[in-house]
Amino acid sequence: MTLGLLQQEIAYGTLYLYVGISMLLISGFIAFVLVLARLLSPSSSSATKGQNYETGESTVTDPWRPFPVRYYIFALLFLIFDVEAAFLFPWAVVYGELGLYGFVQMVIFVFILTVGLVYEWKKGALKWV
Amino acid sequence: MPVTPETFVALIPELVALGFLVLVLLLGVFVPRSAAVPAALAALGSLAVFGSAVVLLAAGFSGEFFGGAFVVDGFALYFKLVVSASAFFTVLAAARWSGGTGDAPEYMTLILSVVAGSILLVSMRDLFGIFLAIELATIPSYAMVAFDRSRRESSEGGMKYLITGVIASSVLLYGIVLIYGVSGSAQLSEVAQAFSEGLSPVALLGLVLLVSGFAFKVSAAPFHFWTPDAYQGAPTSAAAFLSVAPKAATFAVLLRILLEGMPEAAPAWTAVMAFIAILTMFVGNLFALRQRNVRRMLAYSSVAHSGYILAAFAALQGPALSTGVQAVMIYSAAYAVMNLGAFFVIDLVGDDGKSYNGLLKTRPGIALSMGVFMAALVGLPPLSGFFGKLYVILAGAQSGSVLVYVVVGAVVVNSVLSVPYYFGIVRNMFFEEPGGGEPGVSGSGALRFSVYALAVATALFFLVMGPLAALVSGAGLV
Repeated sequence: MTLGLLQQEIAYGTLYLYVGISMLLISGFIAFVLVLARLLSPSSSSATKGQNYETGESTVTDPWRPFPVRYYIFALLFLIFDVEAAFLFPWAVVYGELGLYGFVQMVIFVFILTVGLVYEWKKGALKWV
Repeated sequence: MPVTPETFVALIPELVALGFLVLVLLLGVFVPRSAAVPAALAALGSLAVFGSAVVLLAAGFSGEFFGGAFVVDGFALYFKLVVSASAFFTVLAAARWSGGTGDAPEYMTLILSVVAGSILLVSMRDLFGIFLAIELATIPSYAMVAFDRSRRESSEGGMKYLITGVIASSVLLYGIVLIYGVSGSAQLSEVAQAFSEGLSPVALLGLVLLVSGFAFKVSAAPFHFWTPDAYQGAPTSAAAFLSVAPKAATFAVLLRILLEGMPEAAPAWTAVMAFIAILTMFVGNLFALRQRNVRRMLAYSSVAHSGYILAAFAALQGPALSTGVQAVMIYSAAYAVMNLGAFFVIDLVGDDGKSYNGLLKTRPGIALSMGVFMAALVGLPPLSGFFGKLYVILAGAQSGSVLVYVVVGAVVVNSVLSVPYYFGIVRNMFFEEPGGGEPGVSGSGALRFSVYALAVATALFFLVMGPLAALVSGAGLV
């Protein structure tokens, strides 16, 4: 059960009380800090302060314009391997306990992802256009 | 060990669908420029799914797997049959068109993905599994709607469908999370225990959000706005398939959630269903009356037919429980044969109502088939639609609730309301002189075969009604 980690005598509905209290505490703390900073900090603005911060470049053209579609392919490829890695890491940690069953499951998963990669490769998506 | 050999037997239809999906996709890139091969393979895959479901049904296979999250029973297998048979005819009808786009393997892969998601969906007994399966069936369908790149309306329809569909999914997920929060479990049997103590406000909110999300997916009013635009823009085969197969699976899983997950809350959800059903029937039929475009008319007609099926949901109480479940099952099969056929005729003749003028003289076979589909959609005996409506009305009459009698009255009134727009087409075909509108296309042999086969199935539905009734009465959820 989901209550396994907690004491059994706590009613299920009461658990939501903790969630509610912590939400109140968090939002109260944020509001408190913001108000405190506004009250305590001195405020003086100048033209130098309004400029872009350190590495931020000032724009030379309109940033809302089309950019090459090839970047989407990188994003898609990244997605494939990112999802794969996200599943492989926790799997590797508990691999010893899973045994053959876990191994076969991961092989199936990696195979399905590989099909996606093969499809992209044969479609020519990996060529720099 | 959670996985036994029986688990793989239970998963055979899904594994077959996924196997053919991968095959078709890879075939497309390794054997380029072949339109017929992917279509043949996809048709074979649909038949294999159908056959495996038949074998499981005939062997009386049933059981729960993955800790009760995946269930195989007669009810699930029945809907797997409906989905895979619809997919078979859709693949046949789409074969030549998808070849013309140059992306036939991708289109066939999308159809098989929807099949895989839908047949998985009807077997799910876990709320999060249900959500995943719904998305597995829905996400490829966005791509199917937007697939026709030569027409701007296709992209427009796909975009509208995507945005409304994503909102519906999030509403559905929010409902699922609230129900999970109340009951502490996503398993339907444990959800039922939590609901047996009465409806808390949070549980009621979860139920309403869940039903709203499902209403979006089955295009029930007031969540139907995406339907006409999506179906008008979509390739005809996609509109035909999406209005039938995933919708039947969605109705099936909604039935399972309501009956297995919250039977104690039946007074609440039957009332909601009665309201949605009446609204959906009237909205669908009244808007369909105003349409000049046949495809748009059929889209509104599919809204109306969702209303008729939801009327059976409203009757799920008291002594009408088992008849109500049977009504949903019979209606799904009956609607599949007549609606697929009607959409495929559009593919042959065209969108414009004038294109149907004098069709009886120029193309008698197609005209007679369309006449059969239109009469069946009205619900004339002994065609398929009649039996669907018969079961809905029977269930309503047995329910013993005044509200459900009102719903049944609305079904009858709406059947009459729908006569003018369905028979408008028939009048054009039978009594007008040929000419006007754009000329139709001859279509591929596979498409014409689909139309004729579905017309025969619609006309001779009463022959299979005996076995079908025995099947659904033995396979019902209750």
